[in-house]
Amino acid sequence: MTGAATGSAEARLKAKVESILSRSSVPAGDRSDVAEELFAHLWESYENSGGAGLDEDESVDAAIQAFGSSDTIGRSMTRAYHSRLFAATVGELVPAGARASEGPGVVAPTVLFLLALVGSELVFGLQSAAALTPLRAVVVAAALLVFCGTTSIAVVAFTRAQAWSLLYIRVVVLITIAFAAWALTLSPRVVDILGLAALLLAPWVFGRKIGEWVASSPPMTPRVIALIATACCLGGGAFPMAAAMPDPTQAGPQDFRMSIAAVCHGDASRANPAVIDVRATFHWSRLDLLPFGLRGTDLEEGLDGVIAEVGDQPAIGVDRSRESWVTIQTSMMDITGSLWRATDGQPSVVRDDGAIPAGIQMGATTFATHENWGSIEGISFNPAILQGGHAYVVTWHFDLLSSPAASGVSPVIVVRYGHLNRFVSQALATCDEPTGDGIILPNYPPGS
Amino acid sequence: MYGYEIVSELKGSTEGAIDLAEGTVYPALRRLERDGLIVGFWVDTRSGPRRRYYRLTPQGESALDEGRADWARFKAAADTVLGS
Repeated sequence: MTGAATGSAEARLKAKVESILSRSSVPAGDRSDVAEELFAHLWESYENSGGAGLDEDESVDAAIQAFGSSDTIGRSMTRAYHSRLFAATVGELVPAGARASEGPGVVAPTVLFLLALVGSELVFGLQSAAALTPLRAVVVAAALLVFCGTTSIAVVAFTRAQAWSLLYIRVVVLITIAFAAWALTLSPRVVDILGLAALLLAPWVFGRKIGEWVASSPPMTPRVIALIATACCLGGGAFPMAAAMPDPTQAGPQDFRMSIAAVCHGDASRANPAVIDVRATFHWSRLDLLPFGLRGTDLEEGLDGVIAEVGDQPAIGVDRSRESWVTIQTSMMDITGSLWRATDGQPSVVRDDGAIPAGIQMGATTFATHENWGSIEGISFNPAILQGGHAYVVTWHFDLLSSPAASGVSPVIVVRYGHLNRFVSQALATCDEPTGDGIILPNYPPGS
Repeated sequence: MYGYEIVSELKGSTEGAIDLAEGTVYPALRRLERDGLIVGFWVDTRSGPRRRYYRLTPQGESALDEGRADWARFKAAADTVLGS
């Protein structure tokens, strides 16, 4: 039979060996030995079948059939070399397949793109995660690590012509392009380099040649498809997902109380008092764990730590006809026409046990005046040095300045507390109604 | 013995009662070799590809003895239960 064997029989038997190896994760050092051993078996089986009277094609068919399923043997071979866990996970994802050098030209740039994506996620993603609140940081970091791990495995699988990796890459390319397009709408002058790279790669990644290259790899199992979906969702949705989830390590509106009291002096009618003393009491039952994340900085721009403000009604845009006060304006800058002005050295902050907390900016943050009306005086609290279970008393002393436009106007005192871009509490008082409790502003942060 | 020979022996000596897919013997052989119970070596043939033969290591001999003893105990227990 050997003498009569054609190259076709040998080629078919070698193809059977290759199909087994492509479904296994045999170490490179053992691969040729295993291939030779399996081929020797098939060859002997083929020869014996021929000796029993079968023709060449029938003998090859019989040898291949008796040998068993390539999938089964390939997986068993992986388990013979690796742990059960490896065989069931990485071994299944990156069995030995065709080599990258045998693939289309797009393989190398695609691998580079994926590695750049992983590097970018690791550097910038984890850096951003470090500025999040603790639980969110952990969630984002875990999600990014799963994404980066899966992408790294996909890189190896792609160089071995595995169909699942091509599907994964296609999804990642689409997500990257979509993200870049979205980012472009926010900052038209900034082009996302990875998005551009994804756009350039797309025609080839979705092309016929690359599809044919991976066509001979094992079919995707539901488990692999689930992994692809999970990794893509985690990679693309880590930050939005974390932003939406509650973090019990953080203080909320329920942990905070605020009240204010105003004393007006110098005018019996309460209009245009010469002096207004404002006293606001802030009480935190507990405070945030790592309020600025591991990195110690706030991720989002906006309210700088904790701010208390006092001004008059039109300045802060309070709409007294409504139950809720939602308008916040801090952009007007002219102090010269102010009607009331905080006395130098004011305001002051004192803890309920008499201590003056370190790290609080004292009376240095005059923000604005408004249409020759009044002023807003702010205090920045550093949440990291505040203590839960204590009340902090803030006092302002406002003196009347001359302004004909203010004649007969009764001032409104508003104190607002913004907590790390998460919620805002605001309290209102007038000379006629000199006390007020804080209420949580709805629709804050803006857009929520 | 080598892989094809082992499969043929299994089929022949059990009169076909053990008729496994032939290729499945190789992962098993690799595992046994990895565990140091057998050792493989190549032998050239006069015609056709060379064959990889296996022989038991001393550790494999001990494991085989233990396995035989275990099997004998199990068989005796099963026979007792089944009343044969």
